[in-house]
Amino acid sequence: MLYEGEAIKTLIPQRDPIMMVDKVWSAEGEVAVTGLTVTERNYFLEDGLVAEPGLIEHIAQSASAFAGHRAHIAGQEAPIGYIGEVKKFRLYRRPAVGEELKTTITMGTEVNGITLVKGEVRSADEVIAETQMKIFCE
Amino acid sequence: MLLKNKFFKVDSSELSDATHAVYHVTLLADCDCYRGHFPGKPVSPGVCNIEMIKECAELLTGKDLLLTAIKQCRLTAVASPAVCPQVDVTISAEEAENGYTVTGLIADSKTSYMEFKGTLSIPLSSI
Repeated sequence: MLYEGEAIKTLIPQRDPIMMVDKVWSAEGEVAVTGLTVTERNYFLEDGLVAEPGLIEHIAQSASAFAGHRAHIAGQEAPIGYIGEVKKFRLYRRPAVGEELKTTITMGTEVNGITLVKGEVRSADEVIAETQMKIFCE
Repeated sequence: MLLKNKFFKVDSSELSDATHAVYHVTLLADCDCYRGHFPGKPVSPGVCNIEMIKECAELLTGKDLLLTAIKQCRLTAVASPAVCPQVDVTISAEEAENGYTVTGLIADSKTSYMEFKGTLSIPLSSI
């Protein structure tokens, strides 16, 4: 475990009520693994399940946390990133309160401030959502 | 609906036919998402704009829908209640297997903010 709880705030600019990452398990090379435990306070909760935009936001903030971790190592401030494009998103099911999501982020090369990111969200080894996205940083 | 009357409200709509409509909406500046996105710098979360397209498609079709696939969604400009207090959400929903193929556009008279192509499905539990 690299970061959890309050320490996540040093990585990403998002704050309550819309923080959608609560752990960074590992970050090595192009790949990071992040986590989120679904609580009753989750912003995107609908009928006890995390709605689809919540899963996309979780992947985006996971990529942002990865970028923030890299910035820390380089002695820089964590960047603010925006989603520029979402492509090939697939939802298999929505997770419920109490589920522990574990998400693998694969970061591509940055070109002109735009980075291609792949994210795969698992709950207990079952893939529940995946997407590609382009993130641009200020 | 998760964000209707919280993140946005529909002021009026124009239905061309059963599969095409334009919703004139106001982005609500007091939505609590702006407390965290970002503190002191309110920017409409792209995923909330995606949800707004889904909810407008639900209004058009009269069905609860699940966003099961996004083919491509381009966020072409940063939106916020200050930059674009009123926007038009243009929706086309063509019937497909177990749901709809939806294209959506969020724009005002000057700027296009989001272009969406995806699949909204009728949840298995409600078929």
